[in-house]
Amino acid sequence: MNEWEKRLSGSLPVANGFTSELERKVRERVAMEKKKSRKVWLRVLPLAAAAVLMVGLWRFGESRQPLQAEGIGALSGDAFGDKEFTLKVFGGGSMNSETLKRQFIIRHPSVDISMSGQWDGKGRSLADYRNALDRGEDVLVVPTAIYRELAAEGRVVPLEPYILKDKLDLSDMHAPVLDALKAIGGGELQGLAGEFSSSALFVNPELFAKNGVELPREGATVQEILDIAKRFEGTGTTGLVTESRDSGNPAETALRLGQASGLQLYGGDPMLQTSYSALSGKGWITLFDQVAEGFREGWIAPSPDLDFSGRKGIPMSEVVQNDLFGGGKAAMRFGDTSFYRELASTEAERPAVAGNKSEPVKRNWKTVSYELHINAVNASDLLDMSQIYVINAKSVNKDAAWELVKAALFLSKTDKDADNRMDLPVFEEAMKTQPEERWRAFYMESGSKKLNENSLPIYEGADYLGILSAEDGQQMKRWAKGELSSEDALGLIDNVLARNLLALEKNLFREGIARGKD
Amino acid sequence: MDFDYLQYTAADYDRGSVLDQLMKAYGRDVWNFALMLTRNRDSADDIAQDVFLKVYEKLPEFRGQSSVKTWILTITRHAALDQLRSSWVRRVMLLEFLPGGHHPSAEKELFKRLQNEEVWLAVLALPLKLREVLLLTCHYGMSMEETAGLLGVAKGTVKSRLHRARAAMNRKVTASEALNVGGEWI
Repeated sequence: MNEWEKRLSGSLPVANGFTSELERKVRERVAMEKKKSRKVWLRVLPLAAAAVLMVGLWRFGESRQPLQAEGIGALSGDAFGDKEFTLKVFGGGSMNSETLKRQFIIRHPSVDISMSGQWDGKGRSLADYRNALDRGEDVLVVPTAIYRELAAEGRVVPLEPYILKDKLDLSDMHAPVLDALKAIGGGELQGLAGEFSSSALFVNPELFAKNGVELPREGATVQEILDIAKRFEGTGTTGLVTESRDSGNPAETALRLGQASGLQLYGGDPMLQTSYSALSGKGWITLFDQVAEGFREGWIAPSPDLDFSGRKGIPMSEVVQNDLFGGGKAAMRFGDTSFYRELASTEAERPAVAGNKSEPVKRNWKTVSYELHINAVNASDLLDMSQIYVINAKSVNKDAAWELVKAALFLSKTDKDADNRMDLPVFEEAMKTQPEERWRAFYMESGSKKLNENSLPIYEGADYLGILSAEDGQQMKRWAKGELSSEDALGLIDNVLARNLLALEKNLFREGIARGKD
Repeated sequence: MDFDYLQYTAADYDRGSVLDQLMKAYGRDVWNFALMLTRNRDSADDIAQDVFLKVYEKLPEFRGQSSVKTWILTITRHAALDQLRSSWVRRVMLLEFLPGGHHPSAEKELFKRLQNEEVWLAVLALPLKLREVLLLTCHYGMSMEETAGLLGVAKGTVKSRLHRARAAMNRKVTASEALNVGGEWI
């Protein structure tokens, strides 16, 4: 055989042109063809058609369908074509709502969609969501803690029967998200989310190479990361930059690192009104000592505050550049998916807004997963879904609501526009156009472990426990400078924590959520 | 995946599900074959869609007259020939396939990549009749009989075309050129 024949027997040197988009178009055309013939067919033999479908479903009951065009009803035709009604959606963000609406209406033109209660800068309370269910909104888009509550109250619909009916294959969905939705739903999948957030360690390989320091391994422990950060002492490069800026509370970093390394902030469950502060002990003191040493020696440092100087706002590019990591002055930084978005988005070319053009900045960075101890960490640090789609158990349009839920999920798989997303898509496939070393850590098991009962999100917990970082800021700055001992600093935080836990429990009881003492 | 079962299935099976499987298994082959026949990416897109729509329609009629792959490539070839017969395509597209000539940006990228692969570029430059027989036998690994059945010609005709195609390729691709290939693939 000639050399050229050997080459000819191999692959064609072009990328696969038969893309998922082409597959989708085929399915749409098939659906349209079916629709044309369906009218006549249904007039003649509606029951026979149903019987054929049932036999088909039975015969292929075990073969699941990937979430693609037919997943939003394309192959099965428009099941709602004979009816006209409005599907009501409450909550969620507004960034991709129009796209979702458009995609749904294209397939189900007789269905109108009304959207309300979308994020407008104000938080929604559990009461708002309960009222929406009472009003008969068909689909709610809720954060994780609200999902937990609505699922526990039995006010939303389990989705597994719908998934089985449609033979929907969700095997390519980020498994920890599915597991978490099931765990938080009380063992039943009662909602689906197209996006998730988790945290990772951002590293600047160039700074590591320049200073002869080895990059942290995947799944590195907090202690390993602190040891690595210390190696940057005196190099002119900050080893680890904190998430809070200069005017923030330095103890926030120590609290976060402590939880990630397995130290508990509180014990019991505020939902059961059995919580108590666990912020004491040698482990916490040792960690606080180590972090304070890092601040004093400069290998841990906050980024400078943002300088508004009379301006109403600051471009994102400036916010990121001002961050020590974003500005290329720090080797490591813990960050969540929103920090990933900030870094990635400011590297892209953007059109000018009101005459102001942000110049794209190319940076050297990637992410590494780190070990998070599941029993001690706040659930939202581990894995969080801010937009979970649930179906009202009282909805009279459950089938259409299910189609919308699937469309939302499908959107996260196909929408390549990063600006439309708050977090990361649950389908890795949608990230393939981006450098993998930058997002892989978010999808690794160590970066988003399965949630369990001990790490369930607490409704409003973040509001109350987050206050920890706002109190005693000045005292904590003294701690970071070595003017206050770690024992005293922890004592101050312990008081605040105990007070906040009590306030949290009272509020949970007032909201009718707490299930403990009267 | 083995699709032999299709010839034995009853008429009430889930065609949508089978279509999915067929697209997964043969989507790339269909698109590549369409591309190599038409030498145009947009045409390959259109043809691939038409092919699978036709496959969906004709699935109940498939009774194992050939392998599923041969059947689908036959449909692809017919669709590509229909496309090439279109006067618009003849006027606008075919003339644009000249290395270094004017191509839309996607085509430019495609041909840039193919130019790094002298062998494939040489195949693209063959007359259609020689190109298709060479592709079916050397690339898709079909036998003389299968190729003859797919093209609707006698086995001897396939042999003769293949001989001419090989001779043309040997002329176009010298040994050194054939070895001097590389470049990133898109």
